[in-house]
Amino acid sequence: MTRKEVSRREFLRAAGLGAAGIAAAACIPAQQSAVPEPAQQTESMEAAGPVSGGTLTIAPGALSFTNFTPWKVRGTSHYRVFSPVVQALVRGQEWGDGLTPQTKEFKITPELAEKVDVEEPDRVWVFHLRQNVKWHDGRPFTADDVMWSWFAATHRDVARQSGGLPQIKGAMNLGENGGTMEDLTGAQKIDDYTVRLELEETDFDFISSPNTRMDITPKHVFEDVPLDKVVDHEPFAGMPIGTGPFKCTQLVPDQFLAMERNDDYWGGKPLLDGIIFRFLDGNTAVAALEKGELDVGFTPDLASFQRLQAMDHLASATFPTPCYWAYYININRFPDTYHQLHQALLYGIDIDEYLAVTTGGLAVRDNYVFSHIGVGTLNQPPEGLTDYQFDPDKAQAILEEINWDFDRELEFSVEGEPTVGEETFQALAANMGLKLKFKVFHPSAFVPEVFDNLDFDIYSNVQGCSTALGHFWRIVKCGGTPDAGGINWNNYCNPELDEVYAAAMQEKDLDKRVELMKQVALLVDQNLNGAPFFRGVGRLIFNTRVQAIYPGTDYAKSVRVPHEKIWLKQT
Amino acid sequence: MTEYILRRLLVTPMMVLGVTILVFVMYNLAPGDPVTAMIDPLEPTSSQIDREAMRERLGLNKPIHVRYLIWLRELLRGNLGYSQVDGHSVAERIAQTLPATLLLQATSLVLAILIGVALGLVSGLKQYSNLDHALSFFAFFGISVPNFFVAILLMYFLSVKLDWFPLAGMWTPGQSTGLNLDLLHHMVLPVLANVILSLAGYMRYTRASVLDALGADYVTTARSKGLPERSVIIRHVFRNALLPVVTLVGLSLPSLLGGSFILEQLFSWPGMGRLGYTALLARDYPVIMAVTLTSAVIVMLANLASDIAYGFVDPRVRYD
Repeated sequence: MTRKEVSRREFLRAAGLGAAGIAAAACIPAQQSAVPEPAQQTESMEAAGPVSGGTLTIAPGALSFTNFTPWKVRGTSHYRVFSPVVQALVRGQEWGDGLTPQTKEFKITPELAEKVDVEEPDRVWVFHLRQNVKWHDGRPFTADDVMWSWFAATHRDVARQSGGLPQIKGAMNLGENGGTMEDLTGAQKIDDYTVRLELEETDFDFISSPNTRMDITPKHVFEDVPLDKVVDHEPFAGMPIGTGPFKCTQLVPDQFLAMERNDDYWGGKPLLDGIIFRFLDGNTAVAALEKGELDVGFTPDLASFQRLQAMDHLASATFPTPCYWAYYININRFPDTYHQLHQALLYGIDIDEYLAVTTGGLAVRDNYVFSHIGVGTLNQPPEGLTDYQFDPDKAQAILEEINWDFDRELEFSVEGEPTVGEETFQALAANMGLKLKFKVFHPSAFVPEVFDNLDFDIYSNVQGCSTALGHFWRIVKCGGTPDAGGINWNNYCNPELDEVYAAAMQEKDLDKRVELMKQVALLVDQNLNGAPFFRGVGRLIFNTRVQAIYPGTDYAKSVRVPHEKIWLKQT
Repeated sequence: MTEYILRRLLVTPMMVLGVTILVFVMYNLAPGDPVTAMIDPLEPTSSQIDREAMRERLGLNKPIHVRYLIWLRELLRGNLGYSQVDGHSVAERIAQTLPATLLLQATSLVLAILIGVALGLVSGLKQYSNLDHALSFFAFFGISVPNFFVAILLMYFLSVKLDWFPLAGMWTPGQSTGLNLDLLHHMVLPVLANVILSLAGYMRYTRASVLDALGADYVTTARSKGLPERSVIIRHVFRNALLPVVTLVGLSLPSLLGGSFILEQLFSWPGMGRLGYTALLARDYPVIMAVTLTSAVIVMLANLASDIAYGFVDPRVRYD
C-alpha cells in the first residue's frame, strides 16, 4: 500500500466515522426498567399513619457487588443488600437492631419457620415451616428447600465464602469427602412442612446467634446445576430469588440493584413500591444524602455525620454495636511486660478525651468483654473487674516498674492510612511519654503481615462483634492461631483461661455457665495483651421522609429487618 | 507504509506480553493475595483452613511462573479467566465495562481536542492579550490541579448546590438504560472534569504551534502573495499548527485511561477504571490482568494509529 491509496481527506473522514462508531458501540442496548412508577398515593397527605408508595434509595456502603447468594455474603454492607430478598428459618437478636436492650435475654425471631420445638436443648430442634410462603417466581416454599439449603451449606463442592453450617451431624464428613443428602444425617425431612435438625454436639450459640446463617435458597433453581457451579449460578447469583418482602428486578452491575414490592409476601404487602441499592463511593454517598438523591446512608465519617445531622432534610440515629475496640501489644516482642504495657495504656490514655475526638462522645468506655451478651446476667461485669479510670501517675508508675525505655519508639502497625482514632491514640500516648511510630500496610497486606507474621509492636482492632458465647474463645484460645483454624491473631495463651472457658461451654445450667464466663472475664482482665476499652457506636443518616427506618432497621447484623414496614412520607 | 504498519503490528504483541509479565510479577510480589483481601480484619471469621482451601481452589498455591503460564495459555485460548472474588467471567466483565469507559473517554477526548485547539488558536493569534493571559491561567490551572479535585468541585457546585446535573452513576436508578437523554445528563460532570484537565495540554500545544507557524516562511510568503488574512490563518497557520496535536492525542490516552480509575470511582461510572479500582483493592488478579492487558492494547493501538495518522496528515513524514 502506498500513501496515495488513501487521501488525507478520506482518511480524516473515515477516522471521524470510526470515532462515531466507537461512541455508538459504547452505548449499552436499552433495557426497560422493571421498577414500577410510584403507585398512586392511596391515603391523603394528611394521614397520620403509614402510607404506601414510593421507592427508597439506599447506599449500602459498598462499591459494588455482583453476587448476592448467601454463600458469598461478605460483611455487613453485603448483608444489607441481600436481606430484603433472601430469608432464614429463624433469626437471632442482638444489640444494634434498636429493639433489643442490653439487659434483655436474647431470643430467636421466627421467619420462614413459624414455630420451633426444642427436642434437646441447644442440640436438636424441629422446625415447623410456614405453609403460605411462595418464592418470588411463584413456586411454593417447602421442606425440600430447607433440606437443599442445609446440604449446600455443608457440601465440600459448594465453594462457599460464608454460610457454612459445619455443626450439623454429618456435616464435617460431607464437607471433607462430599456425598449425598443422606450423608447429612443431622437433617431430616419429616413432612413437606416439618424438618428436624440435629447437631453433632451441644452448641449454645447455634440457634440464637445472629451469626449462624440459616438462609434458605430455592431447590428448584439448582436442580440441574453441578454443585461446584452453585455459588456463581446466574441469574440467581446477581438477582437471587427469595421469599422476602422485595424481589430483584434489575441489576446494573457497579451501579444499582433495583427491587420491587413482593405483593405475595407472607408477612403482608410491603408499604414501599421498591428499594434501590446504589453502589456509591463513601464521599459520593455523603454528597448524595446532602443533595437528597439518596434516602439512607450508613456510618459516614464523624465529621460528615455531624455536618449532615444539622441539615433540615436529614435525620440521624445512633445505636450501640456489640463490637469493641482494643489495642494489642505483641506478646513475642514483649513477653514479660505486655500486660503491664497494656495496663499503663488503659490508665494513661484519657479515654473520654479519645472518645470525644473520635466518636463525638457517642461511644462509651467499656473494658468488659461480655457486656454485649444478654445471656442471664452475663452482660453485667463481675465484681473485681478493674475499673481503668484515667490516672497518668499510675500509668507512669507501671512504666517505671518495668524499666520502660522512654526513648524507645513502638511500631504502631496500621491498615492503609492512620485513622483519626489511631492518630488520637498516638497523641494521647505521647502525653504519657510513650512514643508510637506508624508502620503503614496496604489493606491487603495487613492480614498477612500483622496477623500472620505478627509484624507489630502494637496495633488496633475491632473484635467481639459476635454475640456467640464461644466467639471470644476463638480470639484467645491457646494454639488457636490462624494456621490452626482459629482467629487468635496475637498468639495469646493462658491455659487456666482455656480450662475455665471449656468448662463454661460444657455447662448446661445457665446460671453456672454465666458464672464461669465471668471468671473468664476476670482472667482476661488479669493477664491479656489487649482488651476492650470502648464499645462502638453505629451511625445512620436518613432523609426525614423515610419513616419506620429506626429502630429495627440498622441492617448492621443478620437480625430480622422489617423492610416491609418502612414507608415514605409524602411531600 | 504497509511494511511499517506490519512491523509495528508484529512488535505490539511482544510489548503486550512484556507488560503482562511485569504486571503479573509486581502484583504477585506484593504482600497479600485475593484470599487475605477477602478477610475483613475488623471481624476476622475466616479460619486458615478455609483460606488454604480457597487458595487451593483458586490455584494460588502454585508457583508464580506456573500461574503466569496457565494464565497465558488460557489467554491464547481466548479465556481471560474468572474473577477470584465473585466468580464472574472476566471477559464478560470487561465487555460489560469497557463500553462505558470508551464512551466517557472518547467523548471527553473529542471535546477536549475541539475546545482545546480552538482556544489554543485564539490564544496564539491574540498573543499577550488579556484573553491570552486568561486562557493561559486557565490552562495552567488545568494542568496543575488533580482530576479528583476538579471532579469534587464540579460535583459540589453543579450538582449538590445548583442541582443542574445528577451526582453520580450512568443512568437514574430504576429508569431505562441505553443511549438516551438521561445518559447524556449523567455524562456532563465526568466529561467536564476530564475535558478541563485534558484541554489545557491541547490549548498550550496549539498556541505554541500557531506562534511557530505565524513566524514561518510559508506564512510570510502567503501574506506577500496577497492572500486574505482569514485564508492565511485557516489554510496555512491552522493546518500546520494541528500537526503536533495528532501526536498529543496518542500520548494523552494513557493518562486518560489512568485517570478513569479515580474519576469513574468518584462518579460511580460503571467503567473499566472502576472495575480495575475495585479489583486492585480486592487483589483480584485475573481482573487486574485483564484490565491492564486491555488498557495496554488500547494504548499501543492508539499510538500506532497516531503514528500512521501523522504520516497521512504531514506529507513530509515517510516511514519507508
